[in-house]
Amino acid sequence: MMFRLTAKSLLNRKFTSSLTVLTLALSISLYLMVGRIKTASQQSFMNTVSKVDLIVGAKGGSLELLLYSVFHMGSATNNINYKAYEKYASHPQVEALIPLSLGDSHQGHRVVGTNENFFKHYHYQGDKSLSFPQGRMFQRPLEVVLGSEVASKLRYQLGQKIILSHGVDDSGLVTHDKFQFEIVGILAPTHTPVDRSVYVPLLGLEAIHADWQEGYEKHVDVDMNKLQVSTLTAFMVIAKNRIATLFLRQGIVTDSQFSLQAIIPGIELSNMWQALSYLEKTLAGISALVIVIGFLTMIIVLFHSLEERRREMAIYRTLGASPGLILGLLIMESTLLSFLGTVAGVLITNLMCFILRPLIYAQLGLYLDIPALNTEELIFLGTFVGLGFVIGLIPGLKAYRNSLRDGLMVKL
Amino acid sequence: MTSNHVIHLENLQFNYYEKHILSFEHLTIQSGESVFLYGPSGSGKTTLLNLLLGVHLPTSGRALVLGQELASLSLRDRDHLRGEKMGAIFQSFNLIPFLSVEENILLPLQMNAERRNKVHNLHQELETLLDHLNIKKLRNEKAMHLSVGQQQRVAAARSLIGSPELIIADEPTSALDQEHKEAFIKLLMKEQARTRSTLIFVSHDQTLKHLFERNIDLTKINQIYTHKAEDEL
Repeated sequence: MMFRLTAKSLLNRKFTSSLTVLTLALSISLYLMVGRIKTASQQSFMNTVSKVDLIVGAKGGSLELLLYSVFHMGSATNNINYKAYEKYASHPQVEALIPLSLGDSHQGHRVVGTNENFFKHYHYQGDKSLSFPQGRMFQRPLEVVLGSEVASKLRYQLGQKIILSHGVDDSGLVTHDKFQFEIVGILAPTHTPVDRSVYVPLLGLEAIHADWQEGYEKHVDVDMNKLQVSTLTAFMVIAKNRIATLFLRQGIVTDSQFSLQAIIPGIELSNMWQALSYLEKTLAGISALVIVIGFLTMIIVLFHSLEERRREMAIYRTLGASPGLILGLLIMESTLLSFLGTVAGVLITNLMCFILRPLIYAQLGLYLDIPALNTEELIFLGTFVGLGFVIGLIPGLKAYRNSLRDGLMVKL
Repeated sequence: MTSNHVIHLENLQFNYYEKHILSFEHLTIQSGESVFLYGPSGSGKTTLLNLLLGVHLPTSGRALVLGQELASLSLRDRDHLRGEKMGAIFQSFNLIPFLSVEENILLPLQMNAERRNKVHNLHQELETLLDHLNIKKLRNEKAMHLSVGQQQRVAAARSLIGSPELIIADEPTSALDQEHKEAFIKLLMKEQARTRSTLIFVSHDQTLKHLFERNIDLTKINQIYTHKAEDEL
């Protein structure tokens, strides 16, 4: 009976009650969306590189190694000898190595020297591998493969020729203009730093640097057939199995022949994510504010509707309703409103994730999942409905007092 | 005092914040009576009704309503007594605008389980009331779409459902013309006779006096008002 009266009364105030439900739904939805985006960014971040067991570079900071090898940010202070790469490439526990040689750029995009192993073995977002919607991987020293963003931003086509700049700042003052690289392939979008990079063969890099010594151009003719790779910046290791990884790592860091460090990307990535936790805290703070606003709105709306319903409550009293019943009616109203708001909020969130998914994926590289509600979210939603109940108490008690003072002769 | 008394007031005083409003030496109303209680505004009509309905409690003296000493009942008990055994019609009819005629009439039964349990054949009682008060065709209309006269008949039906022992009507005809007033009162009294309840009809309009078995002039029995009138003279 109480439910029916509440439902009919709410329907009678369709406009205000649906606005209240909408306000609450949007608060809930904002809270859930912040959580979803947080999860998506974390996943996207953690999945920048996958299936790589170790990253090996010259001794130095592990964070720097992760930054320059995976995110192409900053630069290495020391290179490593190519012989170290060769040594571990033939190691029985190693499945494959991906060499990385950094230090040049093209129009502000990092140039990465590597070999065919990169296209075969680099994985991201779990088990996704690189693919060529246009062209193929490079085969000769002066061929280049572009990340999707580089190609679309600079409007490059297959067959065009480009030159590289020395150094990683985008001034482009010192160019290796003797050598032109032909674009032979453009990679599919990955939403990782790969999209913003330019890939050339190790020998290609060796060629453009061959006539350079300590910053001065020497104008020596380069014999492409005699070129040999001498240094690398880092290499990624794909081990035969997980247990092998730890032995390999131990072997690499204690290698007396070369001065090397080896990091496990998963661990370094999560360390770095932890360092970014202020971002998470900011998002949580925004969520909290949103929720406070949602509840304040509910209190305001309920107080307003209470004035509208003062007469209704007095009538129930004349018909023998106890003040307890009046209190119950208002609590039922606020609980029902917050329940409907919660359900609508979850629906809106899932709908928004579904609609915005392609757009956000294209723009930010974040994949918005529609997961089942987790425990934390369920607790929050339960609390929200519970608070709806508590909030009903405030106007409910006021109505209780009003109904006693108004008596039965309401002249509103 | 016999159990036949629906209302029995003795040496009753009622003050509202220091202000003396009511003072009765003695007033009894028997079961089955139809009483016309009249007096100008300020004579304490509304206060007396609020006392009888258990909203206010007397400051001193005794007030027995339907055999219960009001002062000895809790707020909850008084709400309960009102819901179970009384029906009230007000000047403004007080229907719930968004409920249908039928839902409005059934409200007192929903608010009070005892009253609902006393009804043997709900369907038949509802049909009889709708029929007698000539509102059968309106049963599914929302109260907010009714005319004043229609609202009044719905309010009457609502006060009569479940055959309460005491019906209290407070100026229910003030919005009607003379002809409709008398027709409505006759209708109400017919239903009162059928359900063998007691009717207290309050108005300032003395032209309705002749329709009732018994008339009570509130200015004569409320000593506060009598004194006030004397002072003013």
